[in-house]
Amino acid sequence: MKKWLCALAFVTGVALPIFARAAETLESTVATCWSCHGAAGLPSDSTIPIIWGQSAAYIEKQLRDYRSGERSSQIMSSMSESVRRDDLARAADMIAKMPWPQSSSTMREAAPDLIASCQACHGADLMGAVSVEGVAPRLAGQFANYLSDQMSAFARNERSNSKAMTSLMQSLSEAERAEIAKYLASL
Amino acid sequence: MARLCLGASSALALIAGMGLAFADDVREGRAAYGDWHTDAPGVMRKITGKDIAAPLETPNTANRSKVVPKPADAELKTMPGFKVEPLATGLTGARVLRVAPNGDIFVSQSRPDGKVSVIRANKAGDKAETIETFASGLKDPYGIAFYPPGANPKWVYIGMEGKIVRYPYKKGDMKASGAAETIVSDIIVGPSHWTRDVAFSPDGKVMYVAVGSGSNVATETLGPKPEDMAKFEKSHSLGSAWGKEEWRSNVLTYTPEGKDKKVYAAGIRNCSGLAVQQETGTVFCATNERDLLGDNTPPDYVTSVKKGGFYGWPWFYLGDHEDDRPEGGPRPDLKGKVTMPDVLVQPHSAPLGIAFNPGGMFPKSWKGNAFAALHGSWNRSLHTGYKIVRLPTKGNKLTGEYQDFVVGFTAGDENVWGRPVDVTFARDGAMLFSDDGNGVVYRVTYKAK
Ligand code: HEC
Ligand code: HEC
Repeated sequence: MKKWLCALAFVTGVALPIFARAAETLESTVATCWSCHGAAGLPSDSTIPIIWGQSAAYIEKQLRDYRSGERSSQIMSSMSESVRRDDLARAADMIAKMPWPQSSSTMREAAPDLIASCQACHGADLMGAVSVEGVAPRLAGQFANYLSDQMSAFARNERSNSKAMTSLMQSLSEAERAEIAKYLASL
Repeated sequence: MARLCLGASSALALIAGMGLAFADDVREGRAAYGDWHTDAPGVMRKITGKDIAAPLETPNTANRSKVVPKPADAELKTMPGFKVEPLATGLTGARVLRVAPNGDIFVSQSRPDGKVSVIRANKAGDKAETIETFASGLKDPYGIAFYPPGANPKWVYIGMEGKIVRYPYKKGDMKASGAAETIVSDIIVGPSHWTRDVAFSPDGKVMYVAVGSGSNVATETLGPKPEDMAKFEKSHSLGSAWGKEEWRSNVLTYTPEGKDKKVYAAGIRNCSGLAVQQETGTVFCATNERDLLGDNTPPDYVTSVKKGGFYGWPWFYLGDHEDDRPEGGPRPDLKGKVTMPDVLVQPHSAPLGIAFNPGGMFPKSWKGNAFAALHGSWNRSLHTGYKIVRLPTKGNKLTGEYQDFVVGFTAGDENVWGRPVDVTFARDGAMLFSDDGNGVVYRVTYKAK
């Protein structure tokens, strides 16, 4: 009988009230993030950033920026809305407490000279720090592709949520940025 | 119970998997919903306003496709008598396609290259003979339009995120012969939807520009309401949004010189494909509706666009379905004023480009039919879209149905090897469509049996 009803629903298009509004918790909302950011914190695609273990304050700011349009990304503009405003800090905290996935890189690239200028804000170990310009995220071990994308986005002012990063990135050539990204990814 | 129903849907999958759908395989209502497992050339689908699932009937799920090279055993499938073949490859990020009066094919390669290329096909029309860069160094070039309409356009207009520019053009140019002239410079740059399609009315008097919303559903982009809403709607249009969403989720009109900006229609979340029906001058949009409401809510749509029409975003979708997420709360004053679109497309399919079949090659009864490219889903559990569909017309109006026409870009539940963006027709009547996943322009031909 039930089976018959289902078949009917599919064949005739009668929508049966069979699904309850899915119960949403912050945990279940954050779990939807992993389909892109990785079920073990390692995204499957190198254009998607590692966020497990990133600084909580930084994650929260990014989520706010995506929501308000200070930072632009079609997908993240939507996904950031899935977390309720009052839950943003808690969600960021949950993500920050997850472990940064282990690096798969086997060889450390040679450090480009320019890296010293990054350490001033991102920390001597490039693991992220509170800088004069606000919280600077961890860069060490992030995907090179993603880092290059973001550095170019800053340079072209497509990512406009940090004036300091924009002017700094505009002073570097694409080749310099690529070299830095490669080095950072190898840490 | 839900599991039993899944059983029913996989039975459907089995039937569809056996190859071509039966000619009378018309799936209506919720049966018209499916995923790539149940796609098959010939399947006709019809979704109406009463078939819309409640928000979060299924949880919000993300499943972004991974674009892979064409697997050795993968093949596109289309209907009997038709053939799909690549016309040109290596066109990274190929988006909008427009054919010049002399047959040259213009293609915007929005990201990451930021250029517009021109493909000239061989005599048979089945292979690219030369590909040239018409213009480069552009930021997110998307829409392309020749002006004035007719056999001898003098300019090529290009829609970019923040502006509309035009290049001088004469028949046969494959490289711009002069610098770009900025025609419109006040288009919003910034968050979220960045595509800007552009088209002209058949008489050349009106330039239409589509600008999508700056967010999914304006949870934080509206800010304080205009003090005098009546005045605001008079200077914009019924249902227009404000704050960071001002002049967005709109079809705008300008003169071809970029003057006299007006809102033509509002509440269209992202009209990424703009087309003008040559016989009637009617404007059409292919639109992506909002995210985060679950696998089956709400449908995307393709529609004729009424002047002054309000299509719902962000406060409503597809008629009077209210959305409680926009900043500042609901707009009960707009209830009952939402124009229902013509063709509802399965939720999350992401229709991007549309074109009308001018005739000349496809079956005679298909003359005037619309075709749309579905870029494919990311915000549902199983992929849907990733195909070309036919939208039948009757007396220049869309009937509300659509039919799977070219399918097969999915390779398992995670990977895809193509993401259709735009459709157009070559001078010989063959259909062309672009794929920005692997940078290919395909050609679809027909031979009556
Ligand atoms: C469909 C894929 C997808 C899903 C699902 C997704 N993200 Fe993202 N996320 C991305 C992409 C792609 C970017 C890079 C966007 C850009 O260029 O700004 C990103 C960027 C981010 C960033 C910025 C990180 C940095 O280093 O600057 C944060 C934080 C983030 N996502 C958090 C989340 C959270 C929280 C969720 C779940 C609520 C989520 N994402 C779900 C694809 C996704
Ligand atoms: C004056 C301080 C400062 C300096 C110097 C600086 N940064 Fe940053 N950087 C920041 C801040 C702050 C952010 C976060 C901006 C935001 O809120 O989105 C950031 C963000 C970034 C990001 C984005 C990371 C992500 O996960 O999206 C990259 C990449 C980056 N910086 C690279 C560099 C590199 C490479 C250098 C050196 C060449 C450098 N930065 C030097 C302050 C700085």
